[in-house]
Amino acid sequence: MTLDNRSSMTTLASALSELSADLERQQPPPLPRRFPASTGVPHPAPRPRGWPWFNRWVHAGAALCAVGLLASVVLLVLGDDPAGDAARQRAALAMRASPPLMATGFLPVAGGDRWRALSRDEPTAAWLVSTDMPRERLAALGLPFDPARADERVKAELLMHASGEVLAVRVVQP
Amino acid sequence: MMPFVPWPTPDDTPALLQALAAGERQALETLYRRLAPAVYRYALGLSGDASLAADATHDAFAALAEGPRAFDPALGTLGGWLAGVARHTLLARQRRRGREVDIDDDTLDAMPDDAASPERCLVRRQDLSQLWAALHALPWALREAVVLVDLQERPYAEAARIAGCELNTLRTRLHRGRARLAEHPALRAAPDPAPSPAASAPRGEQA
Repeated sequence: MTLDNRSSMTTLASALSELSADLERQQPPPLPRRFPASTGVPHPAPRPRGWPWFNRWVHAGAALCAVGLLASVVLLVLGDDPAGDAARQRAALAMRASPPLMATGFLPVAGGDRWRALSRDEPTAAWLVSTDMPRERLAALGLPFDPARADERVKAELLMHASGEVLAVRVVQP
Repeated sequence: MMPFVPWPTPDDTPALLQALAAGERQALETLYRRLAPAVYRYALGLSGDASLAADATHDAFAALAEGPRAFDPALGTLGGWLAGVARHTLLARQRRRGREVDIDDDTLDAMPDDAASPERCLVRRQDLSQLWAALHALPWALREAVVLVDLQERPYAEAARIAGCELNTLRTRLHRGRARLAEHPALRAAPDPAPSPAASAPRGEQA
């Protein structure tokens, strides 16, 4: 340690000693006569530990289950009345008028030899083309066919080779 | 020969806290008389503002009176806990003001002086004023470390708890605070006094 450093340390220590002694002479103000006292007031109960959101929603879940159970019972009771039957009949008619969207699997149109040749060739592009066709064609594909609706058309999708050859077909709305 | 071992002083803090929780004002007065000076000096040394230091001390004891069970003895001493509460008050005031809390002349004038002659009184006051100004020129964190360890001679661990930092961080802050204080013009221009045994080295080296 150089002389300057020693001198600096001594000066710093002296200064700190002066400040400390000066601070030691300071006294706090006396305790106010009217001090906020607790004093005796019970502390609030600690908040429940764990997941607050779970504690909050556990009762809501139970209430929801109870409401669901009650609704099920009401529906079962009302299910026997004629009004319920009429509603079910209306729903069935509506379903027949616009049956839900469903589709068959792809039915091969090209022969087995053609498919084998295609599998040997280089991969080429194919397209999926949406179209519709007379319902009577369903019979040709081996699908169930209602002669009473023979004049209707059904939606179908054709899998076409790049050359324009139809390889397979599926009925979207039989 | 058996070494002299003084009777250990029983720590009656838990009993006083229990009495405080039961609403006994006497317990609060005892704790205030015992611990308020250190809390006040810490706040005064840090802020340099007597009224702010009094407010911080008041807030700390108000927090203690309202919830004695908020103090956890496992986390340190009650004095350290009170200083921590006072620190929150000081920081909140400082943030509200948006600037550092500067020492004012009123505070310096209010500081008593034990000098004998008027001339020496004036010199000492000027010296002290410069020293306090040098201390308050330090950034908050460095100043806090110097006040806690060097001026109040608190153990490093307790000082770190009050300052809310790690022990090594406190050591670093203290080192930097001392270094910057030593570079202050007020200390560089000061004449080198005759070293006294009490002032031979910076204090607070106890861990």
